[in-house]
Amino acid sequence: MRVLPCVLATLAVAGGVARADASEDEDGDFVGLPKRSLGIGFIGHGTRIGGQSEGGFGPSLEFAIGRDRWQYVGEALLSSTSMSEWTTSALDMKTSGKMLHAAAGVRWLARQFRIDNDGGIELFLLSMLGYQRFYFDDGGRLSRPELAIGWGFQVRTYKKPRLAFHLDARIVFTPNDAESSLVACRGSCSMEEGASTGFMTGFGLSW
Amino acid sequence: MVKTSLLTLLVLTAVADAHPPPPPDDEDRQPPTQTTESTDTDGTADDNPAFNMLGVRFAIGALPIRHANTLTMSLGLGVEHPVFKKTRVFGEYEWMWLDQRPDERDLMSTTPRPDRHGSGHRAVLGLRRELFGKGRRSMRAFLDGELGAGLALTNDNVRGVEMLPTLFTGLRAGYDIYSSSDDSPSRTFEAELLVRAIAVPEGIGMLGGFGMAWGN
Repeated sequence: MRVLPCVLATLAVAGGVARADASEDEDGDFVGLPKRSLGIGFIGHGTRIGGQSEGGFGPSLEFAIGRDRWQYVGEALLSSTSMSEWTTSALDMKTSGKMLHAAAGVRWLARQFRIDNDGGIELFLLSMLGYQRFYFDDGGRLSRPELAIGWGFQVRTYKKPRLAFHLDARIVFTPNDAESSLVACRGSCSMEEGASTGFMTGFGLSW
Repeated sequence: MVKTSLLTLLVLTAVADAHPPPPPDDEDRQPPTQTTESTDTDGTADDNPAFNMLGVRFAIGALPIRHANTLTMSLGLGVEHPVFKKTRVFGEYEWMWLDQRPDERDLMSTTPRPDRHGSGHRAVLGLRRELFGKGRRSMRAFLDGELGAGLALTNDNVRGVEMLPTLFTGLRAGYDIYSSSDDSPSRTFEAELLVRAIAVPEGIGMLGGFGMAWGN
């Protein structure tokens, strides 16, 4: 019976040592992302709606909460949109409109290169889950979810003013469904199955 | 009681060995292996940086797919590892956006025809060797040649899935910057421009882009 308390005490000491070392090793020499940041930017996108090409660009706003190498991001975008019409090849028709986009996601700092202690060039990977709402000039309306994964790089200063200029590129997955076909061609075009892929790319400044 | 104490001491000793104390702050650290002198093309360079690299790329090009000139835009992620003095092996994954240009048949058609488009994935493996390099302690410019092979999987909305074996050769021109900070997680940053000729079963296409990589 006297053995058990000694063994338990030994295990408690060993566990404490292990936890202390794990916290010291975590994230190495990375300068962590700022706890809170606000940013403005410009994003362009190209996707498909019912098999028809659609694209546009516009200003964006983002708010992020950072913790070490992780950053949790919310963004909103107001973009123009222009979609090819399903029509004869002799006529090049396009339908214009606006797109509202909102997304939330996460960025992870994959690499950090520091020339000195004042700033560095960083590589991050990102994943976002969002929602798109289209308002076409011909009265068409479309809402659809999106999933985006991608990468980006940023040039960041670590001392005041703490600024970061970033550029990122994402692959965007959106569903192909009857609603997309209805908007693209009044339902007369063939409906593609599964998800369609597009892209988004943009740059921004945050502080 | 003696046996218990001995057992306890043995366990604590094992824990101490598993977590050695960190080195004191004033301990001398070896500088990273870097090129400190300018080099030329006759191979007399010594101490080329030997870093594993993680990088990204954006590229635009045109490929002959399905007997049509297809505009491709790709986003890529790649890793590199040094194998010889001036040679590195690299592997890349690219996601491609494909947009087929309308041909004469499309323009002459009187019936509605859908846009031909698609997306694809490409994985490549290759070797990259420095052809020319010149630099100083903190920066180095280079011109590299590359050669490799890969496989692309494309999905077209008209004709479906197609698998394309590819061979490629190309040139990369850029510069490396080396960090003077001992605390920098990445000691090398590389920026480059790339031009690549890609051979697919139906012909040869071209691709151009820019990339960046971070080395540990």
